[in-house]
Amino acid sequence: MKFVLIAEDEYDIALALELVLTESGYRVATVPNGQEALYALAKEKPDLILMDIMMPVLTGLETIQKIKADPEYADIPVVLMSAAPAKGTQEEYGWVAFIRKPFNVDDVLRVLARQLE
Amino acid sequence: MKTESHATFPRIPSGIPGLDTLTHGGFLKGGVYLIMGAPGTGKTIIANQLAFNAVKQGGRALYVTLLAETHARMFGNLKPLAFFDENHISDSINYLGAYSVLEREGLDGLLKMLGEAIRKFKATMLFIDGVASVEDVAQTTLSFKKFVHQLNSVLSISGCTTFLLSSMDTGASNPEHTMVDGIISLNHAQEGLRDLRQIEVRKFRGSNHLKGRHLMRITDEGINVHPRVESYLGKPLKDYQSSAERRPFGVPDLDDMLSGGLMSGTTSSLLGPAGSGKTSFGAQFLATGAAVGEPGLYYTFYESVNRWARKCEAMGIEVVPHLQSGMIQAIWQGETEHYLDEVVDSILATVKRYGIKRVFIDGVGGLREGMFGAGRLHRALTALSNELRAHDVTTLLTEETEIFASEISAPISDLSAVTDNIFFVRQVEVESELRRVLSIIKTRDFESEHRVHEFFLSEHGIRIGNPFRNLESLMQGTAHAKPTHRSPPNRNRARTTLVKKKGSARKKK
Repeated sequence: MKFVLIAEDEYDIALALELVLTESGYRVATVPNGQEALYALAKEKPDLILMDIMMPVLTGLETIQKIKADPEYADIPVVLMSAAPAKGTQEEYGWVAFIRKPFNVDDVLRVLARQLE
Repeated sequence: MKTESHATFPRIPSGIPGLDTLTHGGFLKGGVYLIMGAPGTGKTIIANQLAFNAVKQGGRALYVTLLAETHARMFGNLKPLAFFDENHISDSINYLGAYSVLEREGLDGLLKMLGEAIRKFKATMLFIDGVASVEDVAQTTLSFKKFVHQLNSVLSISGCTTFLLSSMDTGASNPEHTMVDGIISLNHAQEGLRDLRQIEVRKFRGSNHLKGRHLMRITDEGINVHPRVESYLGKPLKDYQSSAERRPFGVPDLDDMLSGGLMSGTTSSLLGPAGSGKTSFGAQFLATGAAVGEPGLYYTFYESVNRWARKCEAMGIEVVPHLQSGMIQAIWQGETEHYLDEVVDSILATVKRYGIKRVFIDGVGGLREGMFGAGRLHRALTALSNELRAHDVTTLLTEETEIFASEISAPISDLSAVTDNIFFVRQVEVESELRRVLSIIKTRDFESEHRVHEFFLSEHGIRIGNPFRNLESLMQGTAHAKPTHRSPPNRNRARTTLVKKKGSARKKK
């Protein structure tokens, strides 16, 4: 069972994603900010990180920079989400997909399935 | 407008039209304010408008939500509004969700998160949307009080101006009410079938503010506050000195009747039934002023500017060239659900922008339709005429009276107190023919013609005819020949027969 780490500060969205991904057969862990995402990586390496951009403590972009800078975790695919337009580019930050909120949950599942094949 | 401040804290202008009038200049920097109102009253819009305006002034905003709508939904709702610019998001405006932190780590965790986020995002303005959730999570009133107190401490050292949004009105003794520097309340009120949005500054430490409720609108630009005219214009400028110039109508015999014209800075009312010629006198007044370099404003509720201009042309009253040159500004308030206060705002803004010296408002009935709250029209007209006088503007108002009434109904009580001069026009039947009559009922500060005159409207404009000599009761509309045996009139007897509207006592001088 693939393990997805969700980093999302908005309570409703985190809860909804956790429910949907669990129902779709993923093992899920949820953290409310980028710093806690890094702590979670150290405990167990996920197969994919689904991460919001605007978060407290460490933003999504700051977190992905740290992940990509660490050889142990650089290969983890990171899908970014945001209600605002993307700041920066895929080449610059290394995300594999960018999902604009509000999203359709089927689109999220499709992106995850494609990345985790 | 004179600002009364009890302290000299720097101010942050809100950028929301009319709101800084309520607070006498904007929010105090570093203050903590509560914005409260039921769902749908506009809290989220006002908060975001404040945030985006702060960014325009070089600030950085942090918007933290608890159990509130998702950020994506919020942006979707804000997108149609002119102030919203998503390019600022994730840059100078950041939106964070904090309920997860509140749920996992409690009030202390939330406090820690807020302090760190303010520093991280270098926020100069903070919004906490959904403060009611904090109160729900707090185990006791004391723990909530402690949280609010600690939050104040965190915010005071950060210098961040903060707005707490709450959908609950828990009363003046609630900690969030007692510990904040200001409280802004939003609500809906029903007036007949109309829904009115209202805003009230209930508390504002460190400064005076306009009390009571004021109307506001949400338009494509965002929120627009319309302070009650009589509240912010309530204090007339002292030592106003009229220039004592005369502003003629440009109708020679009429100007003679007025000893040269209306005195500058005065307000005159022109009463009369529909079709009696009121608008023609107003148009002539503006045209004459424009011809000698006195900019004018025509404000109408009843017909479009183009239609008015065509009518004036047909009567030989030259307004079209002045409309084209900008010497006459014309505003048609065609919207049927307008507010008195926004009309007055519009008039005063135009007066100031174009240096207007002559204003013609057609008519008072339109002002009355936008008035909410009993007894406001008299106070609002007084405030408006005082403000126009302070700008040395000479004002003419029209008010429609009943066509067949034998009494002249004043549009408001104490009309004489609000206006300096009162004219009356109507059509009367004389020997099966309709003839137009003009009477000067009252003038302040100077003597005027006391006889009832005939006047004529044609393609050559307005012409004043001779006074009626052998007819009486013209003003009552029932003209008849004077009895031949009657002794001459006693000129010392008062000539005013102005009567208040139905329900009021008859007033005779």
